[in-house]
Amino acid sequence: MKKKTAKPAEKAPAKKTPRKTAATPAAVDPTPVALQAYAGTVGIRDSIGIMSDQGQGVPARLQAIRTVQAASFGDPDFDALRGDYFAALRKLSDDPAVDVRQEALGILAREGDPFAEKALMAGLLDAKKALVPAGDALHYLSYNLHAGVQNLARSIFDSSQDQDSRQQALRLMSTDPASTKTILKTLSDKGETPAMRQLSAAALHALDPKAMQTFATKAVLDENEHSDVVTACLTAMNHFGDEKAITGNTALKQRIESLRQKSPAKIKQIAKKLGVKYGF
Amino acid sequence: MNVTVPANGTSVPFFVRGITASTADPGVRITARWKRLPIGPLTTVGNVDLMVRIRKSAVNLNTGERNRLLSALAVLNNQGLGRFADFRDMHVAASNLEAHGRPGFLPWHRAYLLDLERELQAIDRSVALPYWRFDQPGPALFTPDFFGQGNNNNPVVLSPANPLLFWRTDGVTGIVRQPNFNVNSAPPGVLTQAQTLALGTAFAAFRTMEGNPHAQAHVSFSGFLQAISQAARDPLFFLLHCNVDRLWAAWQKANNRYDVAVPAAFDTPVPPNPPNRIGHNLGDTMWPWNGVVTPPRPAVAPGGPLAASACVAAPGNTPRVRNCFDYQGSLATANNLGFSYDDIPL
Repeated sequence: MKKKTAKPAEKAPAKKTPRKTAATPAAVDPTPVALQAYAGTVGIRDSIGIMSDQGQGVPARLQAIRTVQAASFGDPDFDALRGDYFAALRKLSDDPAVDVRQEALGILAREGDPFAEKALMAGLLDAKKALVPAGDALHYLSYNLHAGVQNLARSIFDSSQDQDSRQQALRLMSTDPASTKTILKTLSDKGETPAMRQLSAAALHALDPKAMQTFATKAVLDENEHSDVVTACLTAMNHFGDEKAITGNTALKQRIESLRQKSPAKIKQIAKKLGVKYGF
Repeated sequence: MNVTVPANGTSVPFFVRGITASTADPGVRITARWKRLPIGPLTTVGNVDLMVRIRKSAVNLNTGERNRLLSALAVLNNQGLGRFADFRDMHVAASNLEAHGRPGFLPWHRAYLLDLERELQAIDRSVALPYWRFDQPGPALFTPDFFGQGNNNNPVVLSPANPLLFWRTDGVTGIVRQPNFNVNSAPPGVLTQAQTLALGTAFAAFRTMEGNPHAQAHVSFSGFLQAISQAARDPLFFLLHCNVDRLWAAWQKANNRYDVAVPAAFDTPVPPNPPNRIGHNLGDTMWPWNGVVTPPRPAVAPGGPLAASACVAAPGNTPRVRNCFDYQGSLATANNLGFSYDDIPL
């Protein structure tokens, strides 16, 4: 395992060309060569204009956003226009075109933009102010976690009937130890969708790996458990399982042995891997 | 090739290298035979079939290769608690200038991929990092059994047998990636390999590929990949960059650009122009492997020195930009970085 290191100062590179220090003008980053392959034939500024122009078609506006976003990957001209780009994106956060609005909010949220985060939180607290559906707002807020969002996520998970919103809420709850009980309950609830239960398995594994392994053992032994949940549990055991707990459980070993013989192909495959890994 | 080993059980390391790469899995058989000296019958006591590690197109991996890659990635991530967290933290907004927008873009990412690949190989020595040919259709990659199927703003759909189900970065579960294109075709607007190789025979022209195809491939998706600050949260990021590196390797091969003494092999400003930003000159060490945390470098250096290899010494644990060019040891065996691509001959 590597360790983080912190050397106090940079050693001069072993080369003949003398290097000046950061305090001297020569160390200022020179303007890189023009990289015509970045923004193509459409300049960044032109693209900002197109994305903001509601008279343009939505595909053209989305393309313009992506052109500028591509320029954010190192285009030497981008830094000078970064402020204009973000200002334009903020204006698009309530654009009538939902695709444009979502693209803009997604980009702003990925960059941790305070304006977007505040607007998204406000929409979750008051549906009248919502710029996007609650599931999307939770998704965007998951890029850069900050205080308050987990409480909101728990509340939405408990009250919403919308599966997208509940899934996104559950993702955020997976960062919060206070949600462990709810996540275990969701994982155990055969009335929940397999997708929700799989997500719960991943979330529980992150928050409390021991609890996940305990549940996994129970689920694998349960002959009436959904095959997707059994598969996810075997996958967790195979990659993150406690060897002592698995090999010491005779009933579990017998069950895995029987799954190796007779079960759907995917379960059979993982059961075989488990047998090889843990020697039974 | 025959290797004699002592009877006392002492290990004898050996390496086998061919002129062309075997892409078969397994491609090599090692047979252990025993003979009582001075005379006696030669008896076979065991065989081990191995794959010669080589970077292949991800869509050409067989099921075993695919599953081993996914398992190694999942273990490296280990629910966000594993060594992968360092790799995620190396590629963030604060390190943007170390890795992007300047001549060191390609060398830095070559070292970054190599570091990750060596860590994967420490988990499963049969694994080599595959590449995503973003200029070709690759529907097999975007399936629940591999890197996941796009699901709008929800995390990608993964099979319950896929260990990436437990993928976690920055404390949050799941991989967010929605292709903005039909995965049965290549993303539109991304330069083809032929177009990329035709950008120019000098590095200064070729490195414009950082914009297209590299950045174009990134923004072909919504989700993590679309932003520098988030991209490394998606394991597909490393396959995308493996293809970027492969394109550089193909360009090097086509133009014989392994020797940094050849001006067209790199983009060094000619005096009186000032040198490139630190970290982007041939003699510069690269962050974070150099551990330097004083300005203009970022304030932290995640991960420590670059992982060592059991096979080769290069590029060392504190690589310089110049160490990343002669990756196959064409000029000097000691330069060999210990990786190769299935479609680029030695």
